[in-house]
Amino acid sequence: MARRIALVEDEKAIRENYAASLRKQGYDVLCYESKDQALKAFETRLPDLAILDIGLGAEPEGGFELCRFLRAQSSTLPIIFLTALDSEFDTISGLRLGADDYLTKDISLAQVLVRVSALFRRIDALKSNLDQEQDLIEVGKLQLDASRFVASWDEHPIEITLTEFWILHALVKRPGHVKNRDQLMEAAKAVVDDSTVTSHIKRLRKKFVALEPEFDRIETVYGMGYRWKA
Amino acid sequence: MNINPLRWQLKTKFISILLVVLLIPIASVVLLKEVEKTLVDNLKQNLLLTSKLYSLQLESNSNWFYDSRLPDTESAIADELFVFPLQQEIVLDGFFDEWEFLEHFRANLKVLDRSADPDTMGFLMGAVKENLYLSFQITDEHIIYWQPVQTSSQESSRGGGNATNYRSELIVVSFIDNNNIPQRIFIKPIAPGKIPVEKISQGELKVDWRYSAYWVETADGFNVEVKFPNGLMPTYLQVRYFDVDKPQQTIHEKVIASSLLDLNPVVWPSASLDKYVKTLTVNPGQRVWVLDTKGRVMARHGDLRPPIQERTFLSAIADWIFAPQISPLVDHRSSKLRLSSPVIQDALTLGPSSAIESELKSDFSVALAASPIIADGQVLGAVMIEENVARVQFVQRKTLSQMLYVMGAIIFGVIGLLGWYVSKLVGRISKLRKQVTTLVDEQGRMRIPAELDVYEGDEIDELNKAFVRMGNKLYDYHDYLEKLASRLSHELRTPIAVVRSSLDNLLLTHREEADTETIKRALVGTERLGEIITRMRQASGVKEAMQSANFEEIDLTDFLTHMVAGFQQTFKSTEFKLKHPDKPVVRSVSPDLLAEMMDKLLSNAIDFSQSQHPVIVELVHDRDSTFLNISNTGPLIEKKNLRKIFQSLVSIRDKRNESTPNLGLGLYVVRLIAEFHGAKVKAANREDATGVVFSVIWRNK
Repeated sequence: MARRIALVEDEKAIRENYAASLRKQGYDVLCYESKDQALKAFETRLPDLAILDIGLGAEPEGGFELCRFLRAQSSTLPIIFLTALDSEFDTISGLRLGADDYLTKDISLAQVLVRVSALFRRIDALKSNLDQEQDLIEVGKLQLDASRFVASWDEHPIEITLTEFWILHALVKRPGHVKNRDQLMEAAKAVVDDSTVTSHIKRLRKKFVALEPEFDRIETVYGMGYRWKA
Repeated sequence: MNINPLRWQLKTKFISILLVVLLIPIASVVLLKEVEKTLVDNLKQNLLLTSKLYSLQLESNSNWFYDSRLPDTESAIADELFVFPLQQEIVLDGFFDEWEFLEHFRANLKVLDRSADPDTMGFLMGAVKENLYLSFQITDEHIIYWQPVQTSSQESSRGGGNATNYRSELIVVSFIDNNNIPQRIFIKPIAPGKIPVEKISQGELKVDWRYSAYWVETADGFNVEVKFPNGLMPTYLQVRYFDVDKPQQTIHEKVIASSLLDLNPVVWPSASLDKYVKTLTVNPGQRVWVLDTKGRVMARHGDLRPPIQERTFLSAIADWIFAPQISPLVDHRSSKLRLSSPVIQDALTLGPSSAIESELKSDFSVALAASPIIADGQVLGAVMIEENVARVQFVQRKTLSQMLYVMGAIIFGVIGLLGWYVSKLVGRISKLRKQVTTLVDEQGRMRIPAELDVYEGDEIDELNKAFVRMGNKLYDYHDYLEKLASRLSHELRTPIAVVRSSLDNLLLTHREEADTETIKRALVGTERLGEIITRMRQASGVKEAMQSANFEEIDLTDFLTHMVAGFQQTFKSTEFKLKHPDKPVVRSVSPDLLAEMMDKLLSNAIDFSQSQHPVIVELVHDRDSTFLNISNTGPLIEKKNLRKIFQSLVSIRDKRNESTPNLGLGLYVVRLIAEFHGAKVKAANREDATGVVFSVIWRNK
């Protein structure tokens, strides 16, 4: 059975482009133009994955409301925010609501598809509950499961978005080695600007600091990039 | 056209206006000088009228002239002698108190021989109520008194001073009396005091008791007063003084006489004339003369000396303006007994006449007017009035002083008022200038909008308001421009996403090689477009980052070392050189923002530098300041653009590398971050003109 993806986007052209390419990948795509339309549909049946635009028509934060609703319904449902707003405030708000990833609209469709399939893999992995030892990376207190895209610090799971996971993965794979922004970008399977990488790193640090206030493993090497301090 | 080529300040202009105000008194002084001429003319006219009036009055009293004894002296050999009217009877005491007012008429009679003896005789005649008085003032070192020798009484009877063989001081008065009989009196003292007057009567020298005389010794000689019998009014008279300096001399050593040979004619003006003249009211500085047809002075009254003025500060100014001082009095006539002047000549022959007499070497001048006195078709004499023009000058100066007081008060008032007003105005304008200057910062950015004062006032307040309004509008506009980039990027993002996703879709469906290439090219285009939009957001992005910036104490040398090493790794074609102090330079900064700033500065340097020359990063730290210089070879920046280059959306230099868009935001972000860290930015050309230096400067307090 094809996986059902809900696409809530007010811009018809974008909606249809996304839908077309997603369908081509074999997904069942349900398109909604507005918050109310989407909510009505979600009340009947939840999708397997939701791609939400934040600003929906007259409602600048309609996407956040939808996210809140979906998260209330299911804690595992993958949610991707797709928006023209990329300022930090929006990002943080989106993540607090429990989004799994956050993409700006100028990202390529291919990258969207990568993320969608990655999120489905994560869901699958969580559901199958099978340990795949070969994909598990352990560095100090950090544990990364590359097959399920989950991370934990000192046995505590970390809520981490897909992009963040990939950045963290790239850093941890070779501890002590400096990764510049381009390399991290490549690892995150995204073409975004420098400041986006910086803000991802910042958010990652905050998540670790929340668990351990003295956390200082992610080191900035000014002018070069970042590295995981072993 | 420059209408203010001298670049006068407002203050200067106002002072010039004040100076023009000061011209008013100067103009009035000039005017007063003109008035002076008119005044003098008027004075002349007045004098003429007055002289006419007096002459008319005298005409009706023509008997006063007939009463006067006015001998025809033209034919006489000897000089005329005047009998002056006296104010009171003389007390014969040898002291000249009663003669005091006539002293200047005292005739100094000459020594008749040629000896160098300084002895003199001063002689004066006066009359009151037909009593004639004679006054002698003789200087003589040795007074020899007559010593009568009883045994030689025979000799004494010879007379003529031969009373004894030994000569004594002797005064002889010869005259022709009312009855045309020649007479002679002798005065030779035995001792000082009241002395007898002797007269030759029937060939014998006898004491005539009708005459009185008084002899008094003085410090340098002696004084003698003689009184003639009442009613005896000589028509001709001669006085002689015979001097003896040693006792027991048989001849007189010298003679001082009123005339050598003949008797002197006596001019005896009527006392009524004098009385009349004395009753006339004369102004100070004015003098009235009554003359006979020969120009002899019958009576006079008045004084040419002007009244003494009280000298005040302002009158001193007035004196200074007109002349250093009113010219000193030059009075030729005061002791004259006979006047001659064209004016008098004209009056006596032609009729009333007036003139101004001026001294050659001084400003002193006298106005003259004379009118003839005519009775029964015969000219009896003339009245002349003279007046010191200085009186006019005094009037003028007094007026000027008053004017100066008033004008001074007014002008000082005006100057004070204007000064106060101007300084207030200038102050307000300066304040306005300061306000306007503070509206915009050094880089030309608008500051926070100013509050609009509700105060409604004059044009300057209006101007002030206009500036504030303009400033606020500019601020809004500036703010709008700054936000525009951010808004624009947001608004553009969606259409770009539409294009992008459509292209992506195409790429996924199309299998043909040619189409795929075209679509890829279009994708590259949209990517660049996306990049441009991202850059447009930089400035506002940095501002947001500042709000959540974390400050840390870091070592700048260490920071720069990493930074430069990172750049060296990324940009292998460009060489980087780092110079820094040996000691760590610790500052509290936001490393992320500082890295962003360095990134912009270094990228900028790389863009313009020539690859064979290194980009030099230099950290200079001393007690006063910390300099972070990034220097590269390459094109210079025009001087006028050195400041402008840090402004938003200003792109001045042509980049050689055109692959990345240049929106002129990079250096603006540098400035924002530097200012956020309390530093200043500066762009300069290298001293050797090979490239440019960008500096971030901290002043260490």
